[in-house]
Amino acid sequence: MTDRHAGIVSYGVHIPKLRMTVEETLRIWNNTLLAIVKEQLLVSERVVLAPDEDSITMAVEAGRQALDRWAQPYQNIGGLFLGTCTNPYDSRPASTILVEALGDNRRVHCADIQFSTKSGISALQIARAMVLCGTMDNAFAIGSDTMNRHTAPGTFQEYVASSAAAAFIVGSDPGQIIAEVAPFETVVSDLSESFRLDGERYIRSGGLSALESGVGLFKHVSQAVTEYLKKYEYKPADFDFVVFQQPIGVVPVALCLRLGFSMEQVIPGLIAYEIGDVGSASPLVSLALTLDQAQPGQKILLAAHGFGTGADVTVLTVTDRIVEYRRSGLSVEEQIKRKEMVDYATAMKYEGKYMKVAHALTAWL
Amino acid sequence: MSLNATITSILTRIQESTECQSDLERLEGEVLQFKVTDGEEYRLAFREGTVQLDNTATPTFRFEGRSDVLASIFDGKLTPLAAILTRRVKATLDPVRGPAIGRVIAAGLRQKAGDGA
Repeated sequence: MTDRHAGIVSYGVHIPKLRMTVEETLRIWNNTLLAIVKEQLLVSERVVLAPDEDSITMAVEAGRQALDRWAQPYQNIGGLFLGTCTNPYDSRPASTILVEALGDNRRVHCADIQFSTKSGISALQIARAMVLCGTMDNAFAIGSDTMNRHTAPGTFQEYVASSAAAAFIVGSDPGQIIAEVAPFETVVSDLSESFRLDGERYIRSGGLSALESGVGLFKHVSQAVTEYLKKYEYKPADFDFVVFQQPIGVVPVALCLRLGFSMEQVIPGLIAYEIGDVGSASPLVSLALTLDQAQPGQKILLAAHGFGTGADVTVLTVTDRIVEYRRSGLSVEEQIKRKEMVDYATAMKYEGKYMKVAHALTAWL
Repeated sequence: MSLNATITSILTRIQESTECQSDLERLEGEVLQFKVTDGEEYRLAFREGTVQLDNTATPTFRFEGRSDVLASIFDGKLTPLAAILTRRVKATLDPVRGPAIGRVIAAGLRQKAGDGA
């Protein structure tokens, strides 16, 4: 046993400000009913990427906010683990770009983690383990995804596929920790519910059928949470907040009921109705939103899921340090509310789905 | 119009309405506590196929938000569901009773809109 600690010492989030309503997508495709999207799937808007935004730029913005709030030298970071399933490069790593973009620090253990939409939580697990075992004192765990750039026009996922990033610094100094992170419980399962083959741009998804069949997200998260509660002798009422992966808004609500939690535990972390499915960043943005509201001593159950991966569960206990923790920059709530609406054509252009031919005749055409 | 007057007028219209009887029956025995954060509260008791104000009844679920948020809901500008999903209220509603409550309130709001036409 080690007496070392591992917990969140700082965090930052970046949610791009461009948004599009589900009504706008429906106006173009007319391939479902508005009531199904807004009142059953519980999604009203999604993020639209600007032309210069991708998983790396969003991760940089989130990382900078986390560093600024931490107020410690960047050189104190010993590891950086970037979880994303939408790396803009196929083979080149993204974490090294991120390490250099964040400042001057070459002594960083870093790696890209690709584990579908559970990549961010996997990064958190790795950072926690590396800090806990003493390999490093502080490590970044980042989840960043651009699901919208990899979702085909005209598919059901287009209504909800979105983008965001969340960066957490995991540290060992008890005086800096704002939330202790307990061990994880994991359920791993191979399921080809969504995937993208080599050379393909768009993620093929089983979509709602994968949810309704109960073999994927609901089964895996339910199993992982139930086993966690049993193993550590928790009851649903022991938690002040519950954070779930949110591919669509109805998922956390349905899981809340299925697993015996109350809506009051889930509501503070709901994000999908307003910003859609932000992939690997989903549970981490929701966690950051929850930490923005949490008080010392409160417990947060965190349950993440990735398509084709399974589910992870952990518990975070908020410390007294959260009161004096410096929350500089925009809060998660402010970032959700800060938005500029665009139409479908603009979204397609910015997300590279209207392609300009690469054979320009002059510099102007 | 004050929140108290708005709720009273909506309840009157719900009592006169015939379109939400099945939802009223489904909610039989429930007491919904509408609470303005740091302010007044209203308890709506669902009894005998109707709904009435009864601030002595014991709440079975609650709905709490700032006065402007609750006013937006009662003005029909914000649905209770959207208010919950955008974290503007604290609620113990669930997807079974929540939509039923929403339909009952909507019935009162529709009649209110019709009155003004």
